[in-house]
Amino acid sequence: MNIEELYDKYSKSLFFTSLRITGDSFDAEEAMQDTFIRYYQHSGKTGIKNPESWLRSVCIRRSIDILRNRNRDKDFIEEWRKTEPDNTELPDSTAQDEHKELHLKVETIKSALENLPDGYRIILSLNLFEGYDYKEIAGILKVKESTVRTQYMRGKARLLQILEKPF
Amino acid sequence: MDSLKKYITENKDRFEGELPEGHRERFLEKLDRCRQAQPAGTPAKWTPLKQIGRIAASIAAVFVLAFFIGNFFQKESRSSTAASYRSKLEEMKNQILRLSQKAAPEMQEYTINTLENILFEPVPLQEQLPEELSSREKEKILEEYYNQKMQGVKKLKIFLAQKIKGPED
Repeated sequence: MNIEELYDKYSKSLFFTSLRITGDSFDAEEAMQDTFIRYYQHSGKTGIKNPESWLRSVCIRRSIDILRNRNRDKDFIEEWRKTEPDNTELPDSTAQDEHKELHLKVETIKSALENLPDGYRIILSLNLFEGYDYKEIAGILKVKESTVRTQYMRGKARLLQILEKPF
Repeated sequence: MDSLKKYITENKDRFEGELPEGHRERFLEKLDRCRQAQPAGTPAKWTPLKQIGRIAASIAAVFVLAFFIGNFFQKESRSSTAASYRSKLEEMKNQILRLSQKAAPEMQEYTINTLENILFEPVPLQEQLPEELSSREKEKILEEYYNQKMQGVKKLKIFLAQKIKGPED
């Protein structure tokens, strides 16, 4: 498959992966297209066995770089590096799930995610939409796995609060 | 949360809309510029900008050496030192990108590609340094590593400035 065909096949999926991270369609397009350009530059020199996986991984990292550069805010990563998992008991969201109705609608969920702070949004997106586990997310973000776990739980609690409200 | 995850998995397509208008044309333009600069899988041609290629190649050689050395060691985070250097590199990169706005499109593209080659870090070096090394030794290695990058970026900036200024009368 040539680069144009790859682009036609995966650009949409990668764009929305990036959009969930960057929150900006211009940045998402830049990240997505940079990914394909990088693929073009590398594929001739090193055989890429799983293009889709490679593209997704590179696109996610590029999106995080763009977000970090745009915000010029390393805090959302550096802050996590300094964060030790605290011993505060977090809400049992499984119980919430069973007893409260979640208002699940595509637009509601999208809006709720967009309104989360960057850090929570990235971790939740990588888990809910891309299927990465805590260890994989920690590797992508270069933070401790325990930090990802903590931030995930906090982000999840906040997201559920939003989704529990009727629209 | 399981119900949310299940809902998202079952309706993932509905979370995606349409791509921005004209995206494919913009991509093909970028691809054309990339192809002119360097066809896929072939060595870069010698162009009037060969000095930038030489800078990028020498910097890349240093990174390859650092990578093989790092393979023998355990990872250790030196986030504060590395973060400080990366912060400076980020500032320099942004200065160069702003400067490149005054240059011809081909030069802009070449600048972006060269910056990417210099600054790309598949695995941060501080994560590869062995625990047995003293703090001072680690600091020194990181200093040398990031200083190489900074020298490359500085040379690129000077070259870019000369190109924008044009030949002297």
